[in-house]
Amino acid sequence: MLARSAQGLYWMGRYLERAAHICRLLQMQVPALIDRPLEEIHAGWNLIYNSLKCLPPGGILNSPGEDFTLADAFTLAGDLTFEESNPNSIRSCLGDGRENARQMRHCITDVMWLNLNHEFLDFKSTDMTQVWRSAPEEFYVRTEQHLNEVFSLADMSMYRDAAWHFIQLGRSIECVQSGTALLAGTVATSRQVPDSVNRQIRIALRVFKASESYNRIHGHVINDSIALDMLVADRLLPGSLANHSAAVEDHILGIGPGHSEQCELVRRSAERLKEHIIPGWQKTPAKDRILAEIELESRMLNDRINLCHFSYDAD
Amino acid sequence: MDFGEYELSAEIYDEMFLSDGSVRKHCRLLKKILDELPGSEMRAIQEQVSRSFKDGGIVFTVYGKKEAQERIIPVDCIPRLLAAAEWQAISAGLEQRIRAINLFLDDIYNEGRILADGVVPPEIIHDCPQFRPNLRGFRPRRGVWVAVCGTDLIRTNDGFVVLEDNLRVPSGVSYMVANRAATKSNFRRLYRDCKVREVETYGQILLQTLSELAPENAMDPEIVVMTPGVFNSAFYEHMYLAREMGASLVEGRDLVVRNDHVYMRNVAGLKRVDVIYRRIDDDFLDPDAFRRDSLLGVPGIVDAAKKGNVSLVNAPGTGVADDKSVYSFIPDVIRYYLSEEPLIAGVQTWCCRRPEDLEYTLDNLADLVVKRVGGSGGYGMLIGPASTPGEREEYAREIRKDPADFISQPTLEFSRAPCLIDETPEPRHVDLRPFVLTGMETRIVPGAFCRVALERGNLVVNSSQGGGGKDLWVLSD
Repeated sequence: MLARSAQGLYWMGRYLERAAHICRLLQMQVPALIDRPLEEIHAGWNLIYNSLKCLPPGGILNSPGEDFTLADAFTLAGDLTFEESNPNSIRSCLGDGRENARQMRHCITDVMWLNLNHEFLDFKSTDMTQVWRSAPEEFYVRTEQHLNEVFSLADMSMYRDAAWHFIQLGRSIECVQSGTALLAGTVATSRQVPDSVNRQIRIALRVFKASESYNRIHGHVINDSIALDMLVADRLLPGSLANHSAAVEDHILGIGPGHSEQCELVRRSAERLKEHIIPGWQKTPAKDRILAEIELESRMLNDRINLCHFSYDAD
Repeated sequence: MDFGEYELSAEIYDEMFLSDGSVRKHCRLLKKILDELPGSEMRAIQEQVSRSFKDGGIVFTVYGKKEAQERIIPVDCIPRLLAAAEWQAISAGLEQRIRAINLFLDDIYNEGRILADGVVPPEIIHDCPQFRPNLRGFRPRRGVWVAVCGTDLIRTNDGFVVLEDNLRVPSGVSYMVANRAATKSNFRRLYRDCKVREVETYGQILLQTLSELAPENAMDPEIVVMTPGVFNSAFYEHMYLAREMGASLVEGRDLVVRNDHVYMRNVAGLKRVDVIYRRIDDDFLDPDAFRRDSLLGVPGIVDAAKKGNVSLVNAPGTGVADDKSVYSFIPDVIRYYLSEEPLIAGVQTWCCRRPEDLEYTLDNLADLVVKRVGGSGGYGMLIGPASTPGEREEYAREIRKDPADFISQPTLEFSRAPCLIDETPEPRHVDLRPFVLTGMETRIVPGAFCRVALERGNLVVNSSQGGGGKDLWVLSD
C-alpha cells in the first residue's frame, strides 16, 4: 500500500476518534451546567482543556464565579465544538478527518465516505446557538453516534487489508493517548482537590463508556481504585487502555513488516506500551508516573510508525 | 412541463426539436415524459440531482483560505439524447482522427516525413511550446502517444464538427459517469424504455487500455494514477479513476527513479511501477526534462520512459497535436497518413501567423471568435459578436503584437438542448466530449461529458466560465 495513503488513513482514524472523544467529554460537561456546583463545573473545564493539552480562549479559565461560570460555558463549549482556529475542536478534528478521507477516498468504501461527508456537511451547517437552544448534550451524543457509525461501516464494508489496519491503528493509538491524558488529569485533580476524586472517576467511567459495566461487575458504589484499575488494565472492558494497547499490537502485526530497521522498533514499542499497562499499572504505586510513561511510549510509537511506514528514507 | 414558450430557430440546431416544432423521432419518449411531469416535480428532480453531487463530494476544489472551497458543477437534469446512428458516425470519425494523430505524433518526433513533404509547415511544429525536442527518437509502447483523448464536438445545422482535441490530460469523464448515476435514478422507467447504452464500464476499459500499454516485460503491470495533488481542481476525478481501477493514486513525491526504473514508496518499501496514467502537465512532469522549477514532478521519469522501463500515459509531447495552430492541419494529417477523407469536419481556422489570415482576422473581428494558440478553458478569447468596439480594439492590439499566438474561427451557432430553468424548459447551447481510449485497439465508451452554457445566449460551455453539465444518452437502437 502506498505510504502516503496509509498515512492519510492513519490520521483519518486518529482525527475522527479525537472528535468522538471530545464529544464524549462534552456529553459529561454540558449537563453539569444544570445542577453541579460552580467549582465542579470549573474543574470539569480544567480537566477537559488539560487533557486535550490546549488552552481555553484567552489563555486562562476565570475562577469559578456566579456571574461568569455559566456564561463562559457557552464560549468554552463553542470553542471546543465549532471553533475552526482551535485544532482541538470537534469541527477541526471532523474537518481534518474528513479531508484525509476525501484524499484517500479510493482506499475506503463508498458508504463510509457518504456517511462521513453527510455528517460533516450537517455539522458545518449548525452553529452553537442552535445547539444551545435545547438539550445540547444530545447534540454531542448524536455527533458521537454518527462518528461511530462511520467506524462501524468501516468494520462492515472494508477488506481486512493494510488500509483497514491503518485506520484502526490510528484510532487505537488515539484512544490510548486521549484516555491516558484524561486519567492523568483525573489523578492530578484528585490529588489537588481530594474531595472531587469520586466525581472525577465517575466522569472518567462515563467518558470511557464504562459506567454500566462497572455497576454490573462491581456494584453501584464507586471505589476509586477499582474503577481506575478497570479503566486502565481490564481487558474485558472495550474502552480500557489495556484493550486499546492490545489492539495497537494486533494492527501492527496485521500491517506487516515495514521498510527499515524502525520496523523492529515499532514492534518493540508496541510491546512496551502493553507492558506498561499489564503488568506495569498494577506493579507501580505512583499512578501518575506510570500514566506519564504510557503517554510517552504511545507518542514514541506514533513517531516510529511514521518513520517505519510513512516517511522513511528511500535510499 | 410546458414547452409552449420554448424558443426554436431555423439557424440553430435543436437537439430535441426539428425547426418546424415537431419532436425528433429518438426524443419522442423523453418529450412525452417531460410533458407529463409538472414543473415543480422537475425542480425536485433537479434538486435531487444537485444534492447527489454535493453528498457524493463530486466537486471542483478551490483553495485559498484555510479550508478548501468545494464547488459542485451545475448539472441540468434533462438528458440529451443521441440516436444510435448518430453515435456510430461520431465513433467512426473519432477513431479515424485518433489513429491519424498517433501516426502524426510518431512521425514528427521521429522521421518527420509530413514536415519534409510540406503538408504541415515545420515552423508551426518547431515554434510550438508543446513540441518537446528532447523527445526526438522516442517511441512509446505500441506507438500510442495518445491513449486517452477527449475530443470536443459541437453540432451545427451541417452536422458534427470537432472544436478541439484534448490530448494532454483531458478531464470530465468522472462527470460523465456521475451525471449518469444521478440522472438515471431519477428517470428510471424512461431510462429502461430508451435502452440507453452504459458508460459505467469506463474504469474497466481504461484499466484494460493501460495494461495493454505496459512495458513488454511487465507481466502483471503495476498501474498508478499520478495527480498533481489535492489542490488540483480535477482531484475528484483522479481519485475516482484510481478507485475504479483499484490503482494507487500517487503524487510526484511518492515516486522515485532508481537505475532508470520508477518506484513508488509503499508502506513496506519501494515497489516498481510499470504504467503511470499521469494527470499532470508535461511542464511539471520531470524537472530534469522540462521545467526545472517543478516541485510536482519526478526527476528522471522521462528518461525511464524513453528507455522503455515505464509507460507514461499520455506520452509527453502530445500537446503539440492539440495546439490551436496545428488543429487546422488535422484534416490534412488524416488524408496524409490514412488516405481517407475526414469523417468529422473541423472548424475553418485562420492562423494569424500567416499575413493573409492576420489581415482577414483583423478586418472581421466583429464576426469571429479569436483564441490564443496556447489558451484553454475559455479564458482569453474574444467572441466577436458579443464584444464591444473597445474590446475589439484592445484585442487587435494584442494580436498585432504577436500574431503567431492567435487563431480565429467563425462564430458558430452550435446546437441547443432543453434545460430546466426555473421549472421551465429553455434551450441552451451544448457541446459534448466523448473519451477515446487507445491501447491495442481503440475503444470509445458510448457517452460523453456534455457541457452546457447555462446562461441564456452564452456560447461558452467551460465549467471554469460558469458552464454546467448534463447527461448524454446514447440509444441502442
